[in-house]
Parts: sequence; structure tokens; C-alpha cells
Amino acid sequence: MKMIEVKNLYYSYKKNNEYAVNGISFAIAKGEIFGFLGPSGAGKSTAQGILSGLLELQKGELIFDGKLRLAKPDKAFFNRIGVGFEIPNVYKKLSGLDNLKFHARLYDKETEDPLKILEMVGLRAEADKKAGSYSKGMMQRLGFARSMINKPDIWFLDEPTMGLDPTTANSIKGIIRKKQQEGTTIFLTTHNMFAADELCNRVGFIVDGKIVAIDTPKNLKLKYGQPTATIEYLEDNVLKSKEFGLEGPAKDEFQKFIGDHQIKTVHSGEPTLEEIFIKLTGRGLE
Amino acid sequence: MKRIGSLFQKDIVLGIKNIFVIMELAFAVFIALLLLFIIPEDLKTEPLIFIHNSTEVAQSIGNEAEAEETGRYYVDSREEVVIGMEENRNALGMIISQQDDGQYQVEFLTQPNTSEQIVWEMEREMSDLLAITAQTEGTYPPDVFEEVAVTALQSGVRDSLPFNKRIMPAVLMMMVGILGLFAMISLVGQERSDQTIRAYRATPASLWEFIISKHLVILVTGLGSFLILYLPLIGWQGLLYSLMIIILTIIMGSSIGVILGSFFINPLGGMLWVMLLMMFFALPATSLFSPIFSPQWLRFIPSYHSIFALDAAIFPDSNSHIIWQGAAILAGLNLLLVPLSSLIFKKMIGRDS
Repeated sequence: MKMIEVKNLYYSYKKNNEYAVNGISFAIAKGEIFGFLGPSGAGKSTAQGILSGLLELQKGELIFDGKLRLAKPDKAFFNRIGVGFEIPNVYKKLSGLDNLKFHARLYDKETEDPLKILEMVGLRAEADKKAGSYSKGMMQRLGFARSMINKPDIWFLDEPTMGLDPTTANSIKGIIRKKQQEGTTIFLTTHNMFAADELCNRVGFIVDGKIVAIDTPKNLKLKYGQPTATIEYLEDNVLKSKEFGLEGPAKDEFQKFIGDHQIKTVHSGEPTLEEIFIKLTGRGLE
Repeated sequence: MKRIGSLFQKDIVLGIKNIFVIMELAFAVFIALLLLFIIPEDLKTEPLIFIHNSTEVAQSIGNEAEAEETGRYYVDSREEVVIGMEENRNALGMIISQQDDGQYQVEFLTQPNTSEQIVWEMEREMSDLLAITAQTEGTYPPDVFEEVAVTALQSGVRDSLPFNKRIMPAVLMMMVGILGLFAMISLVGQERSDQTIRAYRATPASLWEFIISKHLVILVTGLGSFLILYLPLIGWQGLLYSLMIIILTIIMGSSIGVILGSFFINPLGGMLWVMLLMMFFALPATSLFSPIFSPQWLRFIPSYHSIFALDAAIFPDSNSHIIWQGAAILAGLNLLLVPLSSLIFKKMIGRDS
């Protein structure tokens, strides 16, 4: 069942023919984590802005849960969505707890217990401290916590793990997976290919406002990437290494090389999403 | 209402910690102390009058020896009256002459921007004076004229007002009313530069609730500083009328603040405009201190109506209609400004992704 359907979406900041989002179409199933991958300025945040109602719908169709969304979304729509931002835009002069309490009161539905949410993101002990005294990573987590205070059905997350240490990033990823299991549909924009690979059921590559490819990370790798093997071998008592492709003529060369040399280690490898992205777009993700 | 309550609670906490709101309250205390203990009570603000009197009539209005004290200067010719007025733009001229048929003629010379009301009051004052000193019916015996003191209907109240109270309408308008503009830019700008407004916009709460809450915070702060200034200096006199006018002025100032805040993401970016606007809004105060200067265009500055309505409320006389006239003009302006400012804000904020 489709939760979000986007048809021929366009957006121009100058309201002319210079499109930041240029005719994109895609659909996201209910309970799916969909990742939008692209370099800075590719149009992924603009697309998320339109979908989440922060930017006006200029041209195109948006269907949420089977209903056509109006150019100006109604309150019911905002009650259903959660939006996490790339920057930690929290009230620095309020405590973490007051930030969440204030935000919770803006909704017309039952919300999460702010303390429970703070516990989830590891800020329970800092709940009564002013957000301004938090580190950037803590503020990022507070913003992330705020985005799920209304138990959203559709959750928009912009770079949710950016600037976080690996342990905290893993904990945030764990929360995202848990929410997915509970049925939340998640739209994630990032230029972090590892996070996207790890979390997303499907990813879309976006460059210059256009979608270049959409598929599961695995399919994209299979379709556009080539498996490799890296061999470490001894030659004249010196340890050397060499990488081989495992498809086509390279496969025969690999097999012959194994027979002819004193092999010490063999490591198989698969292409990263970034490599696929570069292959498809000719550009990097940074 | 739940949302506005929540927004108000948040904004009041942020407002208390906001430097501009603190500044407004601190300034109110400072200005109140200044007016109570530093500013002299008897600073003279009355206009000078150059008089050429070629008759023997109306000598009771003063003599040369009292010129410094009364501000009335007797000169020998019409030309000297004009020269005196050119050198003193806050001065009026009066020429008293006797015509061939024996009738006395009093001619007033006013500055180009003198208000009609002032001219009308002067005419009336002089008519009162002449009706007694130069009456033609001869119904009063000579001893009556020697004992009669002529007092104009409008005079007396203002002459006795201490200067530190006399300037209160202008101080209240600037300190309380227009500083709402300053505070609004600061509060709105902070939300925009910290991008907290983006998170707010992703909720069911509307932007008008956001703005209303800010108006309420500024009203509460403004009324706080109003009472700090008003009660020690004026007391309870005219408090309710003054409250009505100041509330309307605060809403006007903060609505203009919303419009300016729509164009500047960083609050400091709008400060030049705030300064220019505050100078513009201060202009009508010159008319309060120098009634001779009252050109028509001053009335198109909204603060003119705040100042004069506050003046009429604080110092009640027969001009109470000025209070209601000012209130009506400010209310009408707010009916236009409040929705317009919200619309502009909504439009400009919509561009922030």
C-alpha cells in the first residue's frame, strides 16, 4: 500500500524555469524507509520541504495515504507528520524537557511522553538543563526527539545522524528501525551513503533536481556495480595485493592468478552506494 | 486557545531572557527615575510673543520689564515683530492698533505651520480680553475694569504643569508604544535566525497564533513599562483612557515590527529601519512641545494621534474628543495593520524552506 505518491513535482525558488526540483515522480510504501541521496544543492531538501508542507506546492501532485494533498496542507496533515531538521533548531533558552513539552502542546492529538522520548535519545539526565548548554550532538538529538513527539505516521528526517558519534548514531538508527517496525513511513534525505545503505529499503539518487535512479541498495549494486576480490600474495618474499573484478574476462584472469601465485588472503568486495552514484551521475555525494 | 497559551508561555520565558525586552523594562525604570529626580519641573516650553501695541489698551497683558519672565516682548513696529518671529520659530506676533473710526484691531501673526486650533484659541482669548477692556456699550463702571483679571478658557491648566509631566505623552509613546516595534523584530528575528520557526511550521499550529502570542508578550511587557512610568509620575489620573491609547499604540508598533521582521532574518539587520522609523514617529512630539509648529502633514504620522490622545487623557480639559478621535484612528489603523502584517509575514516566511 502506497503511503506517499509524488507525481511530476516541480519547484522553482525564483518562480521561473530554473527548477530546484525538476519533474520528479516516485512512490513510498507504508512502513518503508525511503532514502533520498544526493550532493548538496541537488534538490533533496527542497523536495522534502514540499512534501512536508514547509514549501508551497507549485506544480505536481502529492498523494498521502490515498488522498490528494492540497497546495496548503490542512491541520490533519501536520498532525500526522514529524519533521527532523539537519540543523539543531531548538529553543536554546528553554530546557530540553520544556522544548518537547511546548512542541507537544501544538498538536491536536495524543503525544508521546517527553521524558520517555528524552530517555530514548539519551538525554533523560539532561532534561532540565537549558538546550543552549547542550553540545551540538545533544541538540541534534533533541531536535530528533522533537520530530517524533506526535507519534508521526510519516516521518521526514534530514541528515539524522550527521555530526553524531558512532555510538549515538547507531542508537538513532535503532530508533528509526523501531519506528519502522511500528508502521511509520520514513522519508530520509542524506548524503551519507553508509547510513542510507544501512537504513533504507529503497533509495533514490537525485542530481540537479532530477531522479537518476530508484531501487533497493542491493539491486542498485547488482545492477550497476561489479563485485571485486582483493588478493594478498607473496612474490619474492614480499607481500603484495591486487584487486580483480569478478565478472566477465576479469573473472578468468582472477582464477588464473590464484593458480599461479602463493595466495595469503582473499577479500571479496561489493561496490558502495557512493561508487554507484558516481558511476550514474559522474559526481560525488559530498 | 491551548496553543496560544502554550506559545505565550514559551514566548514570555524567551521574552524575559531577550535582551531587548529586558532593555525596555530597564529603560522604563531609568526614564521614570530621570523624570522624577533629574528633569526639572519648571522647564519653560511656552511660545514667545512679540507685541507691537500702538494704543493705550490692553497694557495689562504685560510690560517690558516682565518680558523675560512672561515671554512677551514689546517692540516698536510691525517689522520688528516679523524679525522677532523669524529669529524665533516658536514665536507668535500680535499687533494692536486703533482704526480711524475708533475701533481697536488686534492682528495675530503666526508661523507658517501653526495649527488652526492655536489661532482659534488666541482669537478667543483676545476677544475675551477686549470685551472687557475695550467694551463699547459702557455697561461697566470704570472700577470694574481695574479689578477684572482676564483668563482665557484654555489657559491655566497647562501653564501650571511641571515639565517632567508635560513630556509624558511623548515619553510613553516612544518608550512603550514604539519600542514594541523594537521588541517584535527581536523576537521574530530570533525565531527566524535560530530556525525554530521551521519546526513550528511543521506542526498544526498556525502562523497567526505565532504572531498573536508575540503581540501578547509585547503587550504585557509594554503595559509593565507603561505602569512603571505612569503611576509614579501621573498617578491614577486618566489611567484608563491612557491604557486604551497605549494598548492601541503598542499593537500598532508591534504590527510594524512584524512587517519589518518579515524582511530581515537577522534582528540586527532591521535595526537601521527601526531607528529611522523611531525618529519618524518622534516627529509629532515637536508639536506637543511647540504648539505653534503643527503642520497638517504631522497628522498623517500615526504617533501624532497617540501623543495627543495621551496628552488629552493625562491632562483632562475640554478636549476629551481628542482621546476618542485618536483611539478611533489608531484602532482603524490596527484593523488594517494587524492582518496585513500577518499576511506579509506568512508570505515571506513561506519562502524559508
